[in-house]
Amino acid sequence: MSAPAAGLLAGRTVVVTGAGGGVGAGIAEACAAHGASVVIAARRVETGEPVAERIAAAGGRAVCIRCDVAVRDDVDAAVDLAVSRFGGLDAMVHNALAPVGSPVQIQDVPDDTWEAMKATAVRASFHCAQASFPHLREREGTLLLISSATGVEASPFLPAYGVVKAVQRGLAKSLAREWGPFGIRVNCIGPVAMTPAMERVYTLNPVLEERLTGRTPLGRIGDPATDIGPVAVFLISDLSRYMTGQTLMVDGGGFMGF
Amino acid sequence: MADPDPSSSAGRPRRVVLTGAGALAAGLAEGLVAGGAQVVLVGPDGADAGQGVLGHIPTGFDSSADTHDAFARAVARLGGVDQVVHTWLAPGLLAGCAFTSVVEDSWAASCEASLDAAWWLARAAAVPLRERGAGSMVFVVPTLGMSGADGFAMLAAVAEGLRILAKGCGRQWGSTGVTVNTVTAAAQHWVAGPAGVELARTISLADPALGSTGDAATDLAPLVEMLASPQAHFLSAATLVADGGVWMGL
Repeated sequence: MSAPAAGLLAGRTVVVTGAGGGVGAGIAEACAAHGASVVIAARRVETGEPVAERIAAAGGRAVCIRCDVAVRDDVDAAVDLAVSRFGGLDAMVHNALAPVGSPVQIQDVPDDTWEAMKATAVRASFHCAQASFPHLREREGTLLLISSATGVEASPFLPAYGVVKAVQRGLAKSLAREWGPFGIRVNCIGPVAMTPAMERVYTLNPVLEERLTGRTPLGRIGDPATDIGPVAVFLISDLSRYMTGQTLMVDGGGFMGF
Repeated sequence: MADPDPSSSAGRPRRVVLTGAGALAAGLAEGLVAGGAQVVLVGPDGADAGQGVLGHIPTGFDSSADTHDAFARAVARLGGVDQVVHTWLAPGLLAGCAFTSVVEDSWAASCEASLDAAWWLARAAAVPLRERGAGSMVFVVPTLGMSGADGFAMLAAVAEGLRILAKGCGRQWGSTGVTVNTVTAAAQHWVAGPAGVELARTISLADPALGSTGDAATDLAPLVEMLASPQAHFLSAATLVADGGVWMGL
């Protein structure tokens, strides 16, 4: 099988949640660079619109929609926009997540943090999966959940984050089994990338930056568009047509726990 | 080396708060009592608590306050706590169905309620265990969290979430001498009858290497007991797969 170096996603449509910045924006831009039409689903359009404009300026196709992933109607609207504007849906990428909060012992995690983690990772994964299913089935598409190595090895700093990222992995494996007969593939990515969210985490926990870089064989923190995005493209493309239920850690080798 | 289990040197029975319901909780309670522990069951139904338990504290884990109160009452009944064993899962998780047929309310009442219960319990247990400076917490979940499961997406998602919750607690509490581990067991302990057998077949080609998926009282309880023993003082944030040798994905 041969595939072009670019255009791996030509003719396909991808919804990316949390695409107003960071990993989501990187994935959206990488998908567009490979020919996909992209729906930028962002909680704040003032962050999503510039991403769509950058994609358009580079010759790609993208449209932004306001989307709070904790609200089913918002997720439905993003999917509907993909179908109405671009003719269908080939991939749903759920990346959005509320701020992870400060490093804290489990008994001191604010209730708001726990609820926000559940809403944007657990409930939102449910929304994204359910809303996209009929369209993914129609086109034998892909559901991609952005998880984390913390969902495997847990965190001494962010106990709630580890739990919800693990839930996503358990869900992805199950949906991979359940939806495989429909030709739908379900995978996860565990990225480590320099994003505004990561910068906030570093500010709250300066020790983390040193430790994270120190354990990364490739010696640097990833770039959302050039390091993480291409792996999402791969998992959406036919190159990975026989992969499902997997988590690819895209972290410079920082986690080798499998 | 400090004694990791002061209850043993104090010559008193190990005091166990066990959450759960149904055959699994009853079997674990029976096995733990047989091993000499004092057990208080915390959960919605005490009718099948198992022989020999010291008491039952009713709760549906409906709120953080409710869970904390039930846990505190259990600890008071025992006069302290040496081990917390969490097996409770919302009943809605245990009925298999296609993911696409799950409505949002069911997702919240089953999946998220189970996560909440474990989260609240861990927070309730944190203070007495850490203050005690020893002891263990054990989460008992189905192995299918690691394997995924057709028709049981909510159960698998929760199981994996709880397994990593255990690791997170293990990381945070280790310096105080408290260990936190997970025991994973065959799905049949939660999903009874032919559905459980069929479920097991979807996650492995193999039958159990040891010939069965085990008995809660005689096969699982000793493992839980071991995790509270001095022999296991250096084991934390681990996953012990106790399904008779079916899942070998680690």
